[in-house]
Amino acid sequence: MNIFLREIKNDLKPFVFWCIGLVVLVFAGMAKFTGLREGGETVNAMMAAFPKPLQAMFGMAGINVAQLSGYYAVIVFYVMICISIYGISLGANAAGRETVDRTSEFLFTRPVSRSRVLAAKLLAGLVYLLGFSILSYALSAAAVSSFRLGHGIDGEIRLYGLAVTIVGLTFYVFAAMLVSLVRRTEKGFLYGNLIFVGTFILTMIYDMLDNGGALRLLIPMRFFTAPEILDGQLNPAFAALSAVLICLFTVVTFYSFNKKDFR
Amino acid sequence: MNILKYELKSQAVSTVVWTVAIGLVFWGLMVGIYPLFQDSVADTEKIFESFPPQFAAVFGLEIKTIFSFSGYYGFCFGYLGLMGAIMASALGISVFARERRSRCSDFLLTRPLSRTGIFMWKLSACLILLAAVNIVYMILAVTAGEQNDTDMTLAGSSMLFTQLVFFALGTFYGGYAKRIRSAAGAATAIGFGAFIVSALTGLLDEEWMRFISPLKYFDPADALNSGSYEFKYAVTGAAVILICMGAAYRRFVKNDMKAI
Repeated sequence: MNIFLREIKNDLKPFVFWCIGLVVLVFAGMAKFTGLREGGETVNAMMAAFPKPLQAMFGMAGINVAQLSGYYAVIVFYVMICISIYGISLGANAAGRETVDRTSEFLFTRPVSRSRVLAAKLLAGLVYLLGFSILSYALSAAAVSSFRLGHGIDGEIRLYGLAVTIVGLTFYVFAAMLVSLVRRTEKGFLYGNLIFVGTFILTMIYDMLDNGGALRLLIPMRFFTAPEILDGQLNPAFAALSAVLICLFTVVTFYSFNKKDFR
Repeated sequence: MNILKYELKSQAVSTVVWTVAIGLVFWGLMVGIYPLFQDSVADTEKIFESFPPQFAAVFGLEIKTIFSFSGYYGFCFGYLGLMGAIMASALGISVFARERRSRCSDFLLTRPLSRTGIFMWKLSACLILLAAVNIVYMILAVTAGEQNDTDMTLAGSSMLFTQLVFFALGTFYGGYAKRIRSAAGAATAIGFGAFIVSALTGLLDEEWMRFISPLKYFDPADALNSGSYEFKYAVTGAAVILICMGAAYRRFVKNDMKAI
């Protein structure tokens, strides 16, 4: 319990900064929608006619931005980027902070098993990660209602909230796993971030291709695509895949963390 | 000299990896995807002919600029610039905050070399590495030429200028941040922060926001369209570089280093 509380205290400040960023992003983004809505029908017809690479250039592959739900999908993509980076930093910190700060001798000589330490740390990180995604959901709902943008996208916002959480979780445990796997903890932080940048570039390429196919399996940020969510569902196959990945990464994290040689 | 050598050596691998990655993405976008893009533009133009003439009059012109070579190049640079930005700020953070991070400032600062000297050696190492990346990038940028060489060279140098801005930001952050656990993590956050800001700038269509989106200070699309960068943003970029580097230098020279 002490470890958990300490972690909560340690991670509070970055959480506040991330939340401020989130507030600005969601409110600034949604505030503009009123402008885009005018002339919606023509834009609508145009966008539908565009081939995929051109749609991708607008950052709106398969989305109709003239509708609130489509416009929201653009904003939520940036939220997804934020939660992924935040998740990576939380996950890497949970598994690697003591080594980087050179305090592992202090913590791991206490009469608590490594698994328990890791569990407490991961749990604390999870609290913040979920806090962030719940906040993004609440802010989105609040922005939509306070700008009087209309109604009827509650379902989409909820699904997107879920998608954002799952993607964030995947990166969270992935980073924790990398940090516990590699010998030099700093490298784990590095690889986690590089892999994220890589998947992000792939996201852009996937959007430009007419048929990205199996590429999608490599890109958590495209596990749940906008058209599917706007149809009212999270892709079940990819939901299952991410559940499996999250469990697998967690198990590997615990296993390798217990074996790790702290230096 | 030893510092220069040491820093070059320690950053060599990551610089090579970034150079290859940026080069590959640039090449893939220009050689691999640009033809697809041109095909789809041709298709779209046909669709436009089927729209009523007033419609084409309103949207046609805008479409032409967005779907031109410069529009495509500018779009790609959004991503290439992001990669360059992350690389450059990671470089600044890791080189200038290394001793603070690994708690060996006293080891370096007790050498018979002034702090200014250390700073300058480190700076030269970074500039050499950035130059190396940009030579490769420039060769690719010029050979991808759809337009004349002067414009392509200017568009290619967007990478250098953008990297200098982010290098300065990274160095600044490295000097002032209280604790840096991971240079890569901080650099990723800086890079994507800038990416989201510039995306919002485009989405919200607010002119003033360009002053706070460093990825757009040196926009290659401007270079290709008008043969020069937009003056006010380029000046902002230069100011950011000077101020951040100046502040970082001051910090490096004056900072009270913690004993272990």
